[in-house]
Amino acid sequence: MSPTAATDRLPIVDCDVHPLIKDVTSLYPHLSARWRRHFEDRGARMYARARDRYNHPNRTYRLDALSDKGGPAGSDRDHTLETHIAPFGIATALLLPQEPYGVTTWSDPEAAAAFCSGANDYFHSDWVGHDDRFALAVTVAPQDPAAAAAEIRRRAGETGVVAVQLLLNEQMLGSRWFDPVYEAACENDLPIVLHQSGNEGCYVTSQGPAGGLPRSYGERHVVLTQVGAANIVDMVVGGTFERFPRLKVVMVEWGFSWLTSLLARMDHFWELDPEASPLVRRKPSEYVAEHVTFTTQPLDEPDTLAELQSLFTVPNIDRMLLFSSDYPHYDTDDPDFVIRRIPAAMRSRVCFENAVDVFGDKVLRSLS
Amino acid sequence: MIVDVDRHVTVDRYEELFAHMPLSWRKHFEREEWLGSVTLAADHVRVSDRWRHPAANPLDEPAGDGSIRLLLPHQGLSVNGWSDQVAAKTFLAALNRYVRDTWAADGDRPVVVVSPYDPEWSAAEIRERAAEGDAGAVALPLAGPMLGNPFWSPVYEACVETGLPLVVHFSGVEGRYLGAPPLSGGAHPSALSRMTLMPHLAESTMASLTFEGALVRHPDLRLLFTGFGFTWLPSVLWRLDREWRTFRHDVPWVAEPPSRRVVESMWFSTWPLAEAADTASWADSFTEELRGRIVFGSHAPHDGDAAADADAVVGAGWTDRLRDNGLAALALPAGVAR
Repeated sequence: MSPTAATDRLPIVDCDVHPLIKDVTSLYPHLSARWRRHFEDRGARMYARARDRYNHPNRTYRLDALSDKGGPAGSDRDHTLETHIAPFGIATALLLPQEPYGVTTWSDPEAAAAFCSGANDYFHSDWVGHDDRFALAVTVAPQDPAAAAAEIRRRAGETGVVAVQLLLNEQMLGSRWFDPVYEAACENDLPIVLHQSGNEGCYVTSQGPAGGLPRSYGERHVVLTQVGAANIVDMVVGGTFERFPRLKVVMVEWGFSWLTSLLARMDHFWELDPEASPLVRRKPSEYVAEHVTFTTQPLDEPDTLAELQSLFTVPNIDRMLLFSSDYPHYDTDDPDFVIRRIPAAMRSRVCFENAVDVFGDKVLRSLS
Repeated sequence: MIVDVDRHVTVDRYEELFAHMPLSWRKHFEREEWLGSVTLAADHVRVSDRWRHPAANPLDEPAGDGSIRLLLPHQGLSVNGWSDQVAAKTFLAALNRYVRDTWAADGDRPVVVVSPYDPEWSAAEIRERAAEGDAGAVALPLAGPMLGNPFWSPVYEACVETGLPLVVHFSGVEGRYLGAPPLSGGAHPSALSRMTLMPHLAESTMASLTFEGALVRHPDLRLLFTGFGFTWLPSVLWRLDREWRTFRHDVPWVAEPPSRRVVESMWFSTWPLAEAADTASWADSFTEELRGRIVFGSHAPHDGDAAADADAVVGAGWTDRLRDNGLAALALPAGVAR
């Protein structure tokens, strides 16, 4: 990857960078003695996907994200700064820790909350404290919403904390189960970030695509976007945005080209019989435009310029789109490649202005 | 002249099917709760106690002026919510013959609904009904393995052999009945959610058919996706091709971009037309080739559209385009009804 003029001119907020820990021992200083002993004795499963069902045909990370110092791709903060952040002039990398995704497969809510809290503490002190270009979405587990709310309140005032990464099991985002989480997030002006955890389509406790079980990793990846769409629909129908009018949601890595058809269909069926959905008090698309943003990666790759331009005809998309790379995963989007394809008129909004709207000025800590 | 690939017909009283059942099965079905369930099955979208439905109007006029209608006995689709997979075959056999005797006519061609639980039986049913000359298509309720699975080969072979396209249409119990195919995400008690998310069933089915090589094994199979709308197509085609480019070594039997199989083997009906009214938001993403895969499906009488609405809602020339596309989907020469 190499920086270009297209990316030099604008600050970029990259809303999907995954930092990893070297191994579970990295978290030990950030855990209570009780939980440290627990993980020492029993280990910690730190991935959510059922790898014996959907094994990746290659590997999940890019090779150039491996550091000479060892550890998994993405676990060396300086390597991330030197090979991804600095070359593209990225002003802020929103860190979405991925090891906590594994807790969605755990049976113990207390262990899940403790692990997430330890990971939050580690990334805050070792990454966000290390460089002001790192911002953190604190991760909360889905099993215990009260514990999640407490974690949000505990971390909200910390420098560089700009969002909440909410993990999901079978409860969708529109469920009142998550009201304590939303209450804490709104109280502290923190948007909710939803990213795939990998558990989708794997367990009886996870959500999945429509129709049944895809056979292969690639087939599953085609339809994973559906889970994101379903959760947006669920929030609208469940009246979440009526109960939490200040709530903001950032949908990361779910795509966005499906949004036009989804919202047009939803508006249509709502208008046919509004009273059938008593918690929806206005057109569904209005809620989504006001409350939800989407990230660019993986940017669709149409064959023609006309098709490419059509990506950006989604109503209100100029205010709903945030840049993301998904570094260090195998399908990282090159900032130069992506930003050059975004219409010039909305480039600054996608690069950073929409991020400021969602996360607040604090997301540009390195520029202040 | 119009080609309507998604006209529904409804049985008002299940007792009317008894004439097409052996006596022993008639005795089995002659029970109050099953006979009463005709209204539940007639509630096509099975959406909720809150959702209003227009009254189902009967098929009271012939297609006329050379028009063609595929008549889908939609209650048959609901066997994908049945627990008794054996009884479902008897029900479908009776339903198919009742539809033949009641509604088949010049231009009105019944869709033969087959069992998702017994592909061999379904293949035999297709061949038997096709031999009678009036069938227009085959509908396979969604249940069991995804449609890309070789499990379905007997059904596909029978469709190809008889020249009948395969209709994919939701029954309304998807995402609602335990054991029926799920919708995306988790459980959706809301009718609005389920209707909004139904197109994901089509997306997943297309991904299965293309990635699992069903259309490599059955290149002459034609598929009609009805009731799912169509404006979502470019998005899923881009994803299909991208994932294939990334992982093609994992599916070596897929030798060309999956979108090729879609634009060569699949058609998609228009209902509900109103969701496509904002043409500026989708028209540029539709290549001419993809426009050739859109066919008119009224979905009548369930909040049905009129063919004449196409020009007004989607744009000038679409009514003619939909007719021509419909003839191609049914493998009929332009201007020839039957």
